[in-house]
Amino acid sequence: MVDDTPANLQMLADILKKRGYRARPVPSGRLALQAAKADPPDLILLDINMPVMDGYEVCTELKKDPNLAAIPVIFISAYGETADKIHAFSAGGSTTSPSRFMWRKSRHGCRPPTTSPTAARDGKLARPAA
Amino acid sequence: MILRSATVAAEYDKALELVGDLAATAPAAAEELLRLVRTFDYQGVMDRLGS
Repeated sequence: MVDDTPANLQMLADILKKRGYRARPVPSGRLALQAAKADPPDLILLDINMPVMDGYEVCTELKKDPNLAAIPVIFISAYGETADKIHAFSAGGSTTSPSRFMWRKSRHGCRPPTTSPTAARDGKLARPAA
Repeated sequence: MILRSATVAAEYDKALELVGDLAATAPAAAEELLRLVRTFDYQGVMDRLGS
């Protein structure tokens, strides 16, 4: 899991460990790429808004590496950030968790969504799964 | 697994365990490393370990 906010990392790690997963929290995109190359994970939870290297950039780098390209990536973002919600919902197959996190599974690489914010405001976004 | 490998791979729990083991022989260093690991500052750990 990749998030530049230590409190978020700790919370996510605790949640996942309680459910029996082995969590590897990382605070930056660069360290995430390093960790993934050292020991490829089964799944990556990736914050979008991070300094230096944002989540989309990290995902793009992952997809360039043949050893890492197949690893599923779930983007996470703070619930209150409207732009991220628009990105997530516009991609389809989106959902929101009952917690403060919103998750989007990246099934087709790291291309940013094509739906514009204007279209989103006009109600042209895919609806989140129930 | 040595501490360097654990930090490079972001094996948080393993890094905590290894730093805990270090506390018996080098408590001051262990305390500093523990602070770094607990804040996920893996780069800081690697910097302390040197090349």
